[in-house]
Amino acid sequence: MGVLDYVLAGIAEALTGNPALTLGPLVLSWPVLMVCSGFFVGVLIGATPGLSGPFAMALALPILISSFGFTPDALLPVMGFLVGIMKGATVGGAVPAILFNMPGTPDAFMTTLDGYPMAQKGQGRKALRVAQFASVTGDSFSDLVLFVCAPFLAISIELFLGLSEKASLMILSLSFVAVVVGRDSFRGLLAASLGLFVAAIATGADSYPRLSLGSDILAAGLPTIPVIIGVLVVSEILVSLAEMRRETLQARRASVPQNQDARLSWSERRALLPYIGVSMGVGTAIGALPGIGSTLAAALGYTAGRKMHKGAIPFGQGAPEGIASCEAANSSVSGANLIPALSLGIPGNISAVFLILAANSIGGFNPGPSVFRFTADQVNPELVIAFGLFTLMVVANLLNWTTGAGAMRVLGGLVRVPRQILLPIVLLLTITSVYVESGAISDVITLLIFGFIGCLMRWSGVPILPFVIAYILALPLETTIRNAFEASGADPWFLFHGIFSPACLALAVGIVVCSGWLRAGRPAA
Amino acid sequence: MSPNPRRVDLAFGLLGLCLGLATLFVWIPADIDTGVIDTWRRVTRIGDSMLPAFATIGVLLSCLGITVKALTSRANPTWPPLHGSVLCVVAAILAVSIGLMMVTGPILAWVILGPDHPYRALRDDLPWKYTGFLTGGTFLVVALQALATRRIHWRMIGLAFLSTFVIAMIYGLPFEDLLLPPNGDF
Repeated sequence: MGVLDYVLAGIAEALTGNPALTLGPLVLSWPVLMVCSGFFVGVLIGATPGLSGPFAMALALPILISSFGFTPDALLPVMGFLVGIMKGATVGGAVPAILFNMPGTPDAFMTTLDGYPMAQKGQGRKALRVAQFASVTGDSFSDLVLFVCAPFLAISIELFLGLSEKASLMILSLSFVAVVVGRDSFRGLLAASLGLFVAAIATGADSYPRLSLGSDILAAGLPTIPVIIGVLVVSEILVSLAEMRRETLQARRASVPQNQDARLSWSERRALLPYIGVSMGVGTAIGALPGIGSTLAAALGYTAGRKMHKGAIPFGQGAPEGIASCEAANSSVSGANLIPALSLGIPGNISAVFLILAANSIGGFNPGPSVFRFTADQVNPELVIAFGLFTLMVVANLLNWTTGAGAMRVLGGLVRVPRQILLPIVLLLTITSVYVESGAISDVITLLIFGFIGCLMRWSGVPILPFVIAYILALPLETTIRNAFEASGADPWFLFHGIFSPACLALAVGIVVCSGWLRAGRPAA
Repeated sequence: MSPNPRRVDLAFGLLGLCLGLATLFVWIPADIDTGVIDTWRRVTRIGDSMLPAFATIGVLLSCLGITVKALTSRANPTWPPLHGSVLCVVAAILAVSIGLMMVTGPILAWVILGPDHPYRALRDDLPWKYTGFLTGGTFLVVALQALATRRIHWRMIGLAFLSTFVIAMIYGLPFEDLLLPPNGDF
């Protein structure tokens, strides 16, 4: 099969494979149905103050796996739904920031700076239009970069890098994530080390499950999904509930009557394009680096926009260019963040963590360089899935272009539930999802224990993201190092041959040593 | 009086160092059969201790960094409130609600039907399939809402029951084979 055949096979698999509904020649496939559903759910969740995309992905993953099972046919519907949520939540996140001055995520804080003043002037709907236009433009550009870069990067890695080089590259990525996330480099390193350690429990090559303390429960191994959802989602819910008890949060709502003229003319769109262009370049470049996240992208995009701006309304007082700058920047992170995930198997953000988790749980698709192996003599099913996933991302973008603004307007007005009402319900839903997926009470207990561990991590300033990424990467890293060591004939210096591998390791050490300089002036992620 | 944040940082670093050293020199050697490098039948390979040992060294180095920074830095680190007592109450609420989910069905069946009917045969049928989940779920939602808002009223209970019922239906209607948590799962 040639490159074009693979692309066409991926498109066909996404659009017509696994049909949910057939009406004569028209086929509605499960992957398309799920990406559309995921998109609208994502907008709804993103527009709900206090909830965000990772919450929805965490809740959806066990349900999706229970519904679609563990067959290769399940991959595209499940991953399509997650991609839909990712994109919908990105665009929907602007709604509470603009209308209620409630940033659900740190990067949405920048959107409030100009979005809320616009809403106070009665231009809330226009601000939503600007946010959607900038967000979808940035997202589409970032996806295009992903489609081009991920295969090239993966092919280059597969052609030029051996096992030891791949292992060094993983170590470099992990060091980078550990150092740049959170408020303190040492705590980032601590989080990554803890992630590696927890992943080591009850795994290994020997028959005795290591570090299991002789316990039958630990010997069965820690279930991946409850550990990750516990530390990410449950801890966030518990900390939020505790904080709400301390200070009763009043949801601030825009009570100003909204001007009905929400249209965004072509000339207005053209005027926004330079800001969007700069911000999406910044966001895509930042997104391609694992772990940095959209907060820095939004801050840099907003700063760049403010320097370019010479309009009548200054930034911070309701300038549409301000909304466009930060929304384009934070939205363009999401597609680019999948470059390291798909080409290296290294998750760059939480959304990528859940996509990799879905792939690992279902099986038949192992994100990494081997996915983009263009085999001519026999079909590489992983490559077909990868192109199917790209097709679904395009479907989600088309949906976003055509219905995103309407979805934001309609769904954004639906959800006004206070967080203190919503979060306990989300916790019950999380517990139920995890139990239903495995049918074991031990998984619920693991979920809750890691929820409390996550609370302690948040309290002590140990960031969650390096822990989760290290936990996901630990076993692939160990396997690669084992294989590289054996392939080198048990050479103790196996990681220091050639140029690339020692360079990666030197860079990893350099990043850790120079972390103070790297973090200077950067807002905490 | 709240403790000095630098001292808390110092204590945190020292605690991590102690736990890391105990893990590296006690837990890992005692609980893993092979070392970092293992030679068996003249085949040398990486042993099972490699990953946890290097992870623990990472823990030790980062805790050492935190300790040294706490001793030398002039800047005061920020420590948010732990909310320890609230988290203990949350843990108790979670334990009670999971307990209610587990035992409500069996107890009700024992009271209503008597001891002759084994619960395992009943737990996938109406109404037993939902009794535990509705009771425990409603309790969980009401208790956490009351904890967060420091008040409780009937509307909260109604909303909690409704949301638990909707969640039960989300899982119960499309997936007949699924059991809701953790109904008689001892």
